[in-house]
Amino acid sequence: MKVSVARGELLEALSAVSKGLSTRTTLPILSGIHISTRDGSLVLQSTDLEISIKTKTKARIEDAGQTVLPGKLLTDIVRSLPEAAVTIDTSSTGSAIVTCGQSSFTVKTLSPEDFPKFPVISTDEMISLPSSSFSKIVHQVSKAVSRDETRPILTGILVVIEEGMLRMVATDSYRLCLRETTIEGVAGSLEVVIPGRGIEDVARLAASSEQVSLGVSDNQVIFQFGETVFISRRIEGSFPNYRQLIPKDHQTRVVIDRAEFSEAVKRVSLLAQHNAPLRVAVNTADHILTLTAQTQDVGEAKEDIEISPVGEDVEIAFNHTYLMDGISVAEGEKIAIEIVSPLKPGILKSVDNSEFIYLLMPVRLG
Amino acid sequence: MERSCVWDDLIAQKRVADFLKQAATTGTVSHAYLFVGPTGAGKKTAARALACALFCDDGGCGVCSICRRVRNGLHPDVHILQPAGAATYMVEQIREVIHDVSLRPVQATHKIYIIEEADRFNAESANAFLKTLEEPPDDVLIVLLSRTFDAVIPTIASRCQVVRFRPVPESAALGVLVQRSGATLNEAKAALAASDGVVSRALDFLASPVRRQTRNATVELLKRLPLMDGHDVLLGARQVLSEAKAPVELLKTAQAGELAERKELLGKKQSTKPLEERHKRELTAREREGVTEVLSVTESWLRDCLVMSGWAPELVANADDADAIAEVAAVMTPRAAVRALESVTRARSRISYNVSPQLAVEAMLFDIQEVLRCPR
Amino acid sequence: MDDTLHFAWAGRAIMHLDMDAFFAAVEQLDHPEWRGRPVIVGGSPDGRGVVSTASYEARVFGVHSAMPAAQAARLCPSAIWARPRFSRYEEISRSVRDIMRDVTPYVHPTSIDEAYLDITPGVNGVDPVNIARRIQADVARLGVTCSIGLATSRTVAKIASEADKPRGLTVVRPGAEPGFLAPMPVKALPGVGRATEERLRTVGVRTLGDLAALDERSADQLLGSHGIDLVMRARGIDARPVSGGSERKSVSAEHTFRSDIRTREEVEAELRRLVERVARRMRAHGLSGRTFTVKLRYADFSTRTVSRTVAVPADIDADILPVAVTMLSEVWTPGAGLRLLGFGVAGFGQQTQQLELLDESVQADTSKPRALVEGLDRIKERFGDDVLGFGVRGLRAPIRENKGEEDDDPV
Repeated sequence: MKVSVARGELLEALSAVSKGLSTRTTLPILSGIHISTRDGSLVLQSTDLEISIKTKTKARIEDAGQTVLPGKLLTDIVRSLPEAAVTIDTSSTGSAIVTCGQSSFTVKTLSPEDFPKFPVISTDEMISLPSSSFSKIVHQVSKAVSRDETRPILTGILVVIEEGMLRMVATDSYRLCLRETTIEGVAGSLEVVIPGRGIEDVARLAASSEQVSLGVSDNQVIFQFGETVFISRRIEGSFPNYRQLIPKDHQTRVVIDRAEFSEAVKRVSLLAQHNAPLRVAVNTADHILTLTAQTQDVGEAKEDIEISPVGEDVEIAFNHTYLMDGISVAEGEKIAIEIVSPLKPGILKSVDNSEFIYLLMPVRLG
Repeated sequence: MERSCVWDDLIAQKRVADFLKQAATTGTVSHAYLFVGPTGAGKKTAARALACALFCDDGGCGVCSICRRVRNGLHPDVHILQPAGAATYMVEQIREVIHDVSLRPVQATHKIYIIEEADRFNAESANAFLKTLEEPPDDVLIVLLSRTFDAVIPTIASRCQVVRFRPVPESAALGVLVQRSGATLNEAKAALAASDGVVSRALDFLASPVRRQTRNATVELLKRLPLMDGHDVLLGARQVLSEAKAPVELLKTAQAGELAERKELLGKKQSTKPLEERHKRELTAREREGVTEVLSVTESWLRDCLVMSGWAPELVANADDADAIAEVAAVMTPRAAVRALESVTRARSRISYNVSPQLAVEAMLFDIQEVLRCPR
Repeated sequence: MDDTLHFAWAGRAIMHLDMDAFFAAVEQLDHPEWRGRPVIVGGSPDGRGVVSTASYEARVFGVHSAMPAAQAARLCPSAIWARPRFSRYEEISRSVRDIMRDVTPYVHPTSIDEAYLDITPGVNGVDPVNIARRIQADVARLGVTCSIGLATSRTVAKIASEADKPRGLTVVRPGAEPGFLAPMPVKALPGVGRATEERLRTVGVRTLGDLAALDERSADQLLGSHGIDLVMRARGIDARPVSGGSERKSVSAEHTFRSDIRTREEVEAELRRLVERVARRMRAHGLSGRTFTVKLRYADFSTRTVSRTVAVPADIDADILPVAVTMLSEVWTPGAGLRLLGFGVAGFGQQTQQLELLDESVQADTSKPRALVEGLDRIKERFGDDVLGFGVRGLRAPIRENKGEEDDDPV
């Protein structure tokens, strides 16, 4: 195989497939990028057996062929090259020569026969979405994705498309984030749980494309954007029934300036070390919300914020990181906090956008 | 003639093969098996055959692309694990498995995890694994392999269906050896004797000129033993052991190559510690194997003397040395032969207690020398 | 001694109470026929155990705590050997604590048979000497005896309690500290071990008087920051307060083994036992801690400890054990014989519980360890420590529980 590619385009393609490189030392072939030629293009593939990525870039093909090159090394080399044509030549067995201008590198190759076949999946339909909305929503709900493998299904994001509407839900069993938006001209419907890591990668990679389309098979979910195909294995199990978790009413409702609240939580959290909770007290008579935190042997912090409350006085405690996550992904200048009772979930909502809900379980004080 | 299939590989374990084949065809495969049996009994082969039988459209034809991928270790839904720690499974390794278990299969209908040396779990990795082992998703099959049942942590063993493998009978093992290596029956016998009856090791032995050389040197040393003085015995022991080390050097070279290649592949920042740990383990195993081989050859040669002197000359394993053996057998009483054999057992146990192999072999040779000089 | 001859007590009054040959005394209490005879608790005359406590009758023969049993048997062939019964000792210990807590909430037990009390008199307060006397008499009524040191600081009180044993009451009045301490050998000061003693000897410091006279700079040069602390304490200056029993700094337990343990199964099983004990005591006091310490002593008596601080305070076996096992593997390789294993938790924080959102099946799953251990706690409270445990092979009876109930600082 002998091909020439513009350095910038090659680097872009390499950066995309690099997300699929495996670092497991047990299967060295998975740390390689499979490169092949087809119809005037160079096709690049990677897989870690959970996600598989394929992309292509225009190239001048002198000799057709295929090879597997060490992914990390190749990406590092191409990144360091000047902006010019890069030639990859595998005419000698066992190694490839990468040249660009006056630089040349000899790199060992791996056997393309050992490389796992790119998954072939059959889907009934592919649904196309504007990638800007898609990526933004993924970013919002991914805060609530669980990183704990003991309940695998919670490490994914539930994606629902129906009747021109896109909804995503994630929960790690301590908080739940739901975001919903209508999308013009979307046809078709689907419901699938996608591994958080995979969908977050897609959200980043697809940002430069207009549209991202997705389809589902029994075992896998497939995304297409630009010249890239991204396939992820699905997670075993079914997503919890989140609707029944969302309280229907509340005792106290507070509307608060988001930036002000965010700054105050950040400050007071300095004294909520080692998982110490952040206490939130609402005084309806004085229109004051008080944040307090204390860490044994360190000290305590307290801050009052003026608010416009409705309902009853209440005091509730939260994990400050979880609270901060919610504030940071909520939208709008003002947000609403709704509280049922000190041991029931609290809710953050965007005042101007009812389609964002961030549910947060409190901390019980001993 | 019946079509060939993956179960043909398990000719010596017909009972096990029938049982597993039955389970695969009737859809009654358990979610977790513990295969127990001596090294070389075919546990891993059976686990792979079971994978083929489940994945192959033909119930395990052994020749289709799916079966080939499984057998070559290239099927993405068949995972074969070995301990990554110096002596045990690392908890990170088990977490990787647990993560994979939580995902749907890549290509097949199931995900299969073949866990070698299942006696090498530590408390931490075992704990991490228990929940998965007890309640895996329906499309998961876990096959644990171990030489003995007792060595497996009970909480692990109790969650598996136990399948016992018998040692492969000598006749079956010899048949396989002759067929696969093209060696003569006598060569196969000698190889099997040097390899403690483990077919895979005997195959390696036949393919390794260095190891055959060690075996011949050992036999030669035993023959000359009665004529040697003390100094000669010490020299002889040193020479045989240094020959037994030759394969270790070969392995070291191969490992250095693999490590260099891996470093190039993964970049400098990526840790190669797991690989180095594996290398260390392989090296220790190979070193021990070299010494064991010397002891096994000695043991078989002495046993030959015993059977030759008594009742069954057809059982002689080192037929190429039959004349010398007959000579010794002619004057040796069974009691003397047993005494000599005991010295080999003693050497084995000393080495297992970390006595230096050199010292243990020297002591053994002096004991045998005494018996050979006065074979009453 | 006539109290009226003295002026009212000025400053703090700190009392140190130390039970006299505690385990042996309890045995003699329960076995009247053993009274007046040498009794040795712990070890056995033929085994290779260690003496836990020797009665005063046995001490006459030269037997003392931590002495190899074989040696004790040689020194005192007529001794009566008793197996330790910790639950019984704990029972008496609790009664002694009740007596102390009747006087003040500022009781700080440092082990099963020792405690500090702050009995500083108020404006119209009772003379602390009278309080100490009353406590001593009340304890004697239980059938065991104690020695008491009374002074203005913990250090002096501790040394004073050692000064006259058994049944002693040693009072070091405010201002009398230098005179009391000066003639004592340096090793009488808690915190001075053999190494420190040696180093002090090189500069001619043998008594606490010598040490008190040492200037701070040379102390610092000789012994580091620890040195200054020692000098101050040798001068009778020690401001450490006696915290109430509820403000523990750490909870720990340790075992010394009848014979060395060396396999992974044995050692991990012992560690699990210790973790269970410690976690249970923490739960009993509503504590959860972040800093774990594993302590081990090898067959050659060299001792190692390793500490680790985790992010979230823990009080459940299942949360602590994996960390403890990892810590153990950092300082111990299977096969190396251990004669002692200890585990402790410190760094207590507020106990809080992050509530969960999901349905019962999930909640049951995550709360199971807590429900389980709390159930076990209740059973053990009723029927004793050894009636129930998690199924692990290789358990072995410890020869003694090293007075290691809990401790912030053994000084």
